[in-house]
Amino acid sequence: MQQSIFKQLTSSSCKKSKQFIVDSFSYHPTRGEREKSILLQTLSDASLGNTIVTKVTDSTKNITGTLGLIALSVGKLELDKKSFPSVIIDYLFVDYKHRNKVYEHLEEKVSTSLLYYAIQTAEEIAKLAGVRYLILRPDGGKEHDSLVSFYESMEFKYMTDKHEWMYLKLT
Amino acid sequence: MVYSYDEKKQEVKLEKVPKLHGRDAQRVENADVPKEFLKKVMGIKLNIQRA
Repeated sequence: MQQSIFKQLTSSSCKKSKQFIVDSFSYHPTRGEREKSILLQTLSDASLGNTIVTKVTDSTKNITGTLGLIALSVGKLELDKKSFPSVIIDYLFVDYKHRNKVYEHLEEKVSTSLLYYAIQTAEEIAKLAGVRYLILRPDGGKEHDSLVSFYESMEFKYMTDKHEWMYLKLT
Repeated sequence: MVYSYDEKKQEVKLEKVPKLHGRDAQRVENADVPKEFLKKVMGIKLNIQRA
């Protein structure tokens, strides 16, 4: 088993502590305001129960604090006026200190672990509630090459050439 | 609820899931499920604590 622990945040803890959570992270030197604003908005949505935020930490406590978090919700993908229930990755965030780092005892990069969590969660929901896709929109769009390559390595595909959204078919 | 960020206005913007039509819709609907990859991911044991 991986040494990372994934723990859901309750809506009330997001409501009470959203600013504290935002302030607890370090951010990209130039994209920091963007990251903070989206994270704050995502936590506001979580406080209303519109998205579920899960944080990841190191169970061995070699690394303290939250490594990153992921927000998931359920929506629909419309294909030729047919509606397909889908799990949406609202936001995937990794503390700047831990980006692109592989800690030996954690086995994977934090972003990879968070995406594994999202895929496993979506698969479980798919078995119970007919969800067909896991979808996301990489922040920064197609110009964010490394992010797009990361999602493509996890079998996500662009929906179209003109849209920024990507999908992973589950069933 | 997915957001982007408008750098000029310095505010977040809601991004709606697109509605696809025609060939785009058919391609996504008929896409293959990456079964081997999903099997690999589902085999990874994660320590998950639900609320």
